Amino acid sequence: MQTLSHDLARLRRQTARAAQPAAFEPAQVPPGAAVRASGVTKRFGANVVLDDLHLEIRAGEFVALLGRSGCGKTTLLRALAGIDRVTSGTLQVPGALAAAFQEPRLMPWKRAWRNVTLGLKIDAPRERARQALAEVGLAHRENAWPATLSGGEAQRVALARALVREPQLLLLDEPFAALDALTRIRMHALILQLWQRHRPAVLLVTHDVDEAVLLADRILVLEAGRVAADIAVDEPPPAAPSAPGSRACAAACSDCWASSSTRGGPDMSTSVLRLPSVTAPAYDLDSLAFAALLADLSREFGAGAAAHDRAGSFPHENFDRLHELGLVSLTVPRHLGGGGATLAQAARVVAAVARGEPSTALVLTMTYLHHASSRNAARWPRHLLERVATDTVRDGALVNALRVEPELGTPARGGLPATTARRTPEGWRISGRKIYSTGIPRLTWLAVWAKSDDAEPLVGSWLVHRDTPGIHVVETWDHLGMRATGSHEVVFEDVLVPLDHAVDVGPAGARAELDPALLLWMSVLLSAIYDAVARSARDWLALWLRERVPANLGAPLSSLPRFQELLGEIDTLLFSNRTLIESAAAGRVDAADAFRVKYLVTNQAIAAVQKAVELIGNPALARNNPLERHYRDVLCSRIHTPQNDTILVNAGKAAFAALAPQPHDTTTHATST
Amino acid sequence: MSAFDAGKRAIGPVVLLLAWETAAQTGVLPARILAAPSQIFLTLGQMVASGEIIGNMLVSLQRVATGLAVSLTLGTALALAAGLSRRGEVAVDSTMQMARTLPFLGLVPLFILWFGIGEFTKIALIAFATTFPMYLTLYSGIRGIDSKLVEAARLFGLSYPELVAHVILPGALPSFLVGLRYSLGVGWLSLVAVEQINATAGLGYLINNARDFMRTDVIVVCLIVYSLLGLGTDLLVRALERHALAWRPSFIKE
Repeated sequence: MQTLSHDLARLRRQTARAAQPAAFEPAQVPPGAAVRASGVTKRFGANVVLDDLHLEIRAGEFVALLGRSGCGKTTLLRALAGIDRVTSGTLQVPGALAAAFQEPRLMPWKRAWRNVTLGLKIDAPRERARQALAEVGLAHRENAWPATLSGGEAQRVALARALVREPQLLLLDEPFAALDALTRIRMHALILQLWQRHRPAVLLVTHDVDEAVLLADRILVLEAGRVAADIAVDEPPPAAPSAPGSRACAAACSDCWASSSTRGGPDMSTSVLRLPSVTAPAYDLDSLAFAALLADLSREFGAGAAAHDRAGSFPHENFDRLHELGLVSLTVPRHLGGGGATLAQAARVVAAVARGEPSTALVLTMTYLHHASSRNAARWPRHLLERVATDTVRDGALVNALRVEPELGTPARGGLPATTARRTPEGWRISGRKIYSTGIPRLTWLAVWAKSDDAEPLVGSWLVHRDTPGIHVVETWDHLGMRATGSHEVVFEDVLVPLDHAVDVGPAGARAELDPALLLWMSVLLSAIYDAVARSARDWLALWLRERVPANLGAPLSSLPRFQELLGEIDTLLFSNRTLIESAAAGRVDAADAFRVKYLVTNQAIAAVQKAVELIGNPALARNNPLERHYRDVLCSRIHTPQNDTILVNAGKAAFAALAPQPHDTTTHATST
Repeated sequence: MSAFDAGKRAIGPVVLLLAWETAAQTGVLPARILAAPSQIFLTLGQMVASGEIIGNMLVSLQRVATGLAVSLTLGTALALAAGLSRRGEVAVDSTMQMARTLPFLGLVPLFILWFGIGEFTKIALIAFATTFPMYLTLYSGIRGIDSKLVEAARLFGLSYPELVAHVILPGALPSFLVGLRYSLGVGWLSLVAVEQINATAGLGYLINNARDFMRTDVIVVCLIVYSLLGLGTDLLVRALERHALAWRPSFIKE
């Protein structure tokens, strides 16, 4: 470190030598200030890039430097970094500074960890590199060659390289500009996290107003080589999405931009996309930006779907990502820190996740349903309800009900569970087995359906934390489809839970009615998953028909009327699905008819995929084509409670019940004809 | 499938060989113009068995190796001097750029006048011809290093020697290896030329002798050996590349 500071000081002395007056010693930075620049001027020939610029940045302050291309912001940053000399003026910066640029600037011939410790003379460099890489979530990539890193990963290595130097001043030169929207959002969260942990002063050069407002304490607008505006962002980042301050500031920025510019300012109609912090998911869930984020998410999850399907492995990384984006707690009420999403909004997220990886969507749906349930909200003890909600918001904790048993089958068809909660002085002791425990590899909270050992047994849900001793998972899930849901068997052996964890129980005889609003949620979200699977199948099919040119035909299959009809038929089924889902999600379907929506959508989804499989023959069944995976997945839509026969029998009963008060009254029949 | 494809691809050469053989056997193609393939293989076997071809090949190999050792040292040193410092560039580059345009075959008579017709002339000519590819590629490799990487390295505190060791040399290595391959190619080419000068051993000597006796089979055998040697050294450098440039996307195996 000492040599590093020495070298940097040397670099800066070079800068100072050219500066007039050459008052440039790191020791002269007054306490509390990280950067002090006064009268800084930089000329390239006759072109004045920095014009008598004054600037002060306090220690630990996050300052964004905004301005359009060519306004001198990069020149200023390079001068501060000691890369370029200024023509005149004084620059004071701390001894320890580091920078990250728009390009990661990693040495391609050095592995990630060696890039991090580049130029450092420290003991155990590998350990330090590993720590720094762990901080940016790349511990597993320490040995990777830079060429194998994605843009976001490379930029994170560059950040680790800057932070390992423990800088007092961190210079960021548009480090997010070359990243896609989704990665950029994650990088914003990361940079804030790192800033809060290490507290360097940060100077972020950007031309993105949203980004500046989101990240910085203070925004400097640079115009023609001078600070044209100095705007304090009055809220500490990360902040609430709809905080008026941020929008006001963005507006202020746009004003000063417009007033001092001869050309038109940038497009300010873009929404201020707030940081999705873990504590407050902060999107405009109906915005185009959010829709774009969801589309990115579908693509990202889709990349790993085939591998999870093959291995039957649980998609943990998808949930890490969903949690990072604050989407696991989407349906947790706002007052508990969640997203408070409506059914329509939740359905869009579930559909997007399912377009990528449907098992992830199913596990996610179960957590969504729990938090959206007004029955739970009404019946569960308040502190437990809030505890589960807080875990979901803070840690992305997942929750699901474990109901099905090996002997009984699904409790939806009646019967008492064999799983028993024994009343003991220290609490309930739960023993039994549950199968089809969807998401168990990652569930934190289990709502276990059981009966008590009382003389008049209570039946209902006991809330159990996954880490309670006595819970074993037997990995039995090896299904045709939805293979990544990890729906294994769970064995409970005398699992002790406090007495108040009997969260929703009642006498065995009295079958409590389900919450009708929740039935609607369940139908819509399950429908959204399998409709999304069918759409993935449809998209693959359409592309395949267009690309496939049989040699004896000499034209793509899409030119044949037979396949045009097929795609038209599939699209019509999916059109019907979309209409059903949208109208149900918008509340235009009676809760009593909710399951008819599920019946129709899932059956049409199966029919759509089935038609594709049937008509294109062998390629549809090839395991290297995704269609057979979509087909296996979509078939699983039949397994969810209530099953088709129950829905139809209930509908039929209701129809007969509504038909006439006396079914044998033939006169009614006669008169009506 | 691929074996079948390879079979199909082999049809052309096989037909050509058969036609050649038929022409030679029927007398349409006299042996003094071009020997039959069967005769060539026979001769190759005899020359290998007698040790004649191996001994001469080793002599040729030694000439190329010595010449390349000289040019490698000289070319690298000059490229470093010109690439790393402005003064070095002024001193070296223009001279090198002028000298590289000299047709080296045209220098053969001069070299013979200066250094005689001994071994020194042969090696000097090979060294002369192969220095320029080394120099040019390494020099442009050093100059082509991304200045942003150099800037970042300086910012992160690398001293000048460290900068050369950790950034400039590894960055110029791909160009260097291209230069090496190119030099090897030029090396074999110049060997053929210089071995026409009063050689008493070596592949060129064999060819000259064979010409005098109209032994086209021996000439073709020597040509085959030349090409195999060229191929072999090229494979060697490729292996070296795979090892030294493991970080390049084309070599990364994951």
